[in-house]
Amino acid sequence: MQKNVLARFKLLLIMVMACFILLAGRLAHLQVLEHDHYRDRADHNRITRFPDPAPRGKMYDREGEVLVTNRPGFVVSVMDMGDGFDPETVSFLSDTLEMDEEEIWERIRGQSRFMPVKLQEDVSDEVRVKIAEQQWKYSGVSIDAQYVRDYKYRETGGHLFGYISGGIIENQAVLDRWEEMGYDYDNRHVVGQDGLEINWEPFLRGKEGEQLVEINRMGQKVAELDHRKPEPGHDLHLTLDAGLQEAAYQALEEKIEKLQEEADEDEEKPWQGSVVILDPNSGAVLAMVKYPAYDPNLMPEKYMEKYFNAPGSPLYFDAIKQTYPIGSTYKPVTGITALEEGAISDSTTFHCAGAMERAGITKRCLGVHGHSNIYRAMAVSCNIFFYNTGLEAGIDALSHYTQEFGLGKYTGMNDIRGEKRGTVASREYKERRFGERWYPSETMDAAIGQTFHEFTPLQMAVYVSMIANGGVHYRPYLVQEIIDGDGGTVMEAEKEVMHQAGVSEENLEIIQESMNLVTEPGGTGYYPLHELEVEVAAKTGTAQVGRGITPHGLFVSYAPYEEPELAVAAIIEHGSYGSTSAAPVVNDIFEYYFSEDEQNGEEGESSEEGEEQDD
Amino acid sequence: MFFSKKKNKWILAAVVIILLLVIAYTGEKRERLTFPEEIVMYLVAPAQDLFTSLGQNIQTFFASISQYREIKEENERLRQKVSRVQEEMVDMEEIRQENRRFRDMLDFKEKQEMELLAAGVVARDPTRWFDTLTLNRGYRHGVEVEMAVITHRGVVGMVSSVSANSSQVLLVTNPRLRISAMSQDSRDPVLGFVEGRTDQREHLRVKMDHMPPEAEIKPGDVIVTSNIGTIFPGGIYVGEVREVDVDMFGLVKYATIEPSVNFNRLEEVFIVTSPVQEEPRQEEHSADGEDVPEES
Repeated sequence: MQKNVLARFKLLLIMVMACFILLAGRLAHLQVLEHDHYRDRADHNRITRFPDPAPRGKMYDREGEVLVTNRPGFVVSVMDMGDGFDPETVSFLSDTLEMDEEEIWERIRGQSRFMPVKLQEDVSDEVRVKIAEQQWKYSGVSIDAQYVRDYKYRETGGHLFGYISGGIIENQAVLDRWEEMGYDYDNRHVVGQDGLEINWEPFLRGKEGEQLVEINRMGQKVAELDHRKPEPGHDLHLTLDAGLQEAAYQALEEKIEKLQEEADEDEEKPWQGSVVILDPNSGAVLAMVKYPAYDPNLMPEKYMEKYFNAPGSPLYFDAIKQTYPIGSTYKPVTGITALEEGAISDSTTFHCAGAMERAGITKRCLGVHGHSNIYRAMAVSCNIFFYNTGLEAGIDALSHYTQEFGLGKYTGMNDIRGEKRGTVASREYKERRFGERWYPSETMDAAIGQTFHEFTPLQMAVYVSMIANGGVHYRPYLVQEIIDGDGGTVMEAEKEVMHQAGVSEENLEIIQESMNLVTEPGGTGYYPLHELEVEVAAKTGTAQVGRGITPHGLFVSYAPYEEPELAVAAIIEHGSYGSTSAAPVVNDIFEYYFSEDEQNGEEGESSEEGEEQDD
Repeated sequence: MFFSKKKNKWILAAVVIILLLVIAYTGEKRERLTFPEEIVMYLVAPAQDLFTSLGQNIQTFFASISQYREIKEENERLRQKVSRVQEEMVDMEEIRQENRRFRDMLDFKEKQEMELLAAGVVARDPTRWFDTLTLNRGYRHGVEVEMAVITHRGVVGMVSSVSANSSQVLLVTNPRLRISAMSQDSRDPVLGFVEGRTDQREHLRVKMDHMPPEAEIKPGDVIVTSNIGTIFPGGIYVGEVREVDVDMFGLVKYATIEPSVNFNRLEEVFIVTSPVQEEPRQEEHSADGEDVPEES
């Protein structure tokens, strides 16, 4: 009996030991033989690094109004959870995102495990709901919030702000500048592509962070093990007046659309125009518009489809990158040149009988103006007066004073790049360019802003600012202040004198006064601006661009006349007369700007009255 | 010795007889004691009292010993009765509560335009308490994958797999399930996505994420299912906002939601068997569920 029990006990012992040996064997198998495999799987299953993008810096106007910001967009990604991609998952994503399965495979093939691959950005609410509801079935599919650039003013500020995209930057000058600023450009990143976005890329970008996270088998973050927080990009506070920018864009748009309707079939239709508004006391850019512009929110997706071949070249920022014959808006230069050279005084008169013959050529005027001094000649834009004046002063003096007023010189605008230099009509230029000598008849053309004179709208705005402020060329600037993520000032712009025109105050005052007469009764700018209460100094221009082609309409002006706040240059390509195309646009802008001030005043008064009544 | 043993016997017998005679004499119906009696009484009474009380105590003591068994048995009986009554009371309370739940559910079900199938929770894995549960209804009863599971208090989850007589439900508190929801209180309802929390610390709260920063949402707001989802009918109560915060430098807003359903105690639920309507629903079922009177 006792023997039997002992035998049973031994059997039990052997069984238990066998079990333990089995377990130990399996343990050894897992720990030793398949160690690497499981180690690899376990580690990757648990921990991975996700990039944590930084929000790009915002842009504000001079009043703190948000111009460019970031809004939430939702990006659908898929991630290899260690076992490759499931065809069913790809098929589901293809249906939901309306993408070709092949396209998805192309994107995800060869991608490293546990790294989300972005498939579609900024998806609709419907897609978000579909993905969210179906996600439980498909491991590795995720939908995350991401920063999407939001350009609040759409095309109104298109060229100024620029846009961002993943395209490779090929402009060596830009790359060199970035390198100089210590910016580590990575061509896989989304970067600024135009305007302020490309120019201030190193400041706007911020620093990407990184999260060390534990993920579950669905690819969801379970825990955060480590987090290097991203640093938001710096904010740009601009000199821009958003309301003025919008008013300028709308005025241009309305006018150009109207001119298109009115244009005859066989005429060159006006497609585009530019307006540049500077603060003549500092060079601060208050508005800078080219119509038509692109909507940065649609870029780069609609680059080809919507803009590339569109009339008026919406992709090109003509306000700084296009040079135009300046026409009669040049006449103040001719006037100041002749005054400075002592060729005329403010009482010198010339007689206009509608045509004249001098330097062996017959030149016509647009009217019959009789005897005019500089005041009257400016007001009525008498060509005969300025032909004579120009001849008296001579081409060398004219080209000298042209550049004294910033025309044909870089304005120094650095906040957005690409400004053109333009050309100044001069003996040297003609010799260099055509290898020909200068004819006096060409001096007559140059004196009314034709021949080789070609300037950018920005240069014209600097030029009219200089007339307004006593001849100071301030560097035009757009970025007032750069603020970092903690609210600290990184950079603050101050007005910078580039040049002081070598002209006497008295002579400049004569020009100012003559330009003031342009908007008085009898002046070429009277009718389009006659409803304005503010005193304006201006000059109209109609620049000939070739026989049978509708001329460009131009208008340079500043206001108020006594204490200038705005200096404006406006041009409508093929807009015909400056007084009927560009001047009405500027009228609308002044009306917006100066009635806005008045309205504020009136509101204040009326509320006071209300209070009195209540008492 | 003064008394011999034999003599003593006799003396004792004589005293007893005398005393008996005295007792017999004095014991007749008399109202008053004779004078000698009174003197004797006066002298003897204290001692008598003492002996009487002593005797009584002793008697009581022995009497209670003899009754102990009996009392113990009675005590046992009473205890049993009390516990039986208590059990009955518990049962009654349960029935009462069940009755109330059923009444709420019936009431809820009757108000619905959608078709509801009542189901009971039959299994719940304690290690995945807030992830899944099993219901006693399967494809034989018409249950299909991706059907919504609700109670009169709000959203419970979604059917994730079905067998003949049972089905698995992914709970709202499971991070795997994400449902589209919106705030009932804001004028302009904002879309957000409710999901279980992955941090495992607060199972009983869910997170509503991916709302725009300008979303009007504040603690106390009622969150309901959105009407653009395809799994849940619109307007079903999800819970109440407890906290609101922003993420990604203010890019998105998220809220911590306290679900209206008590996930610790889930016994009977409904499976929504009718297809989800395209049109937004006018009735706010959630509110109805909330307003059911507690008890009559």
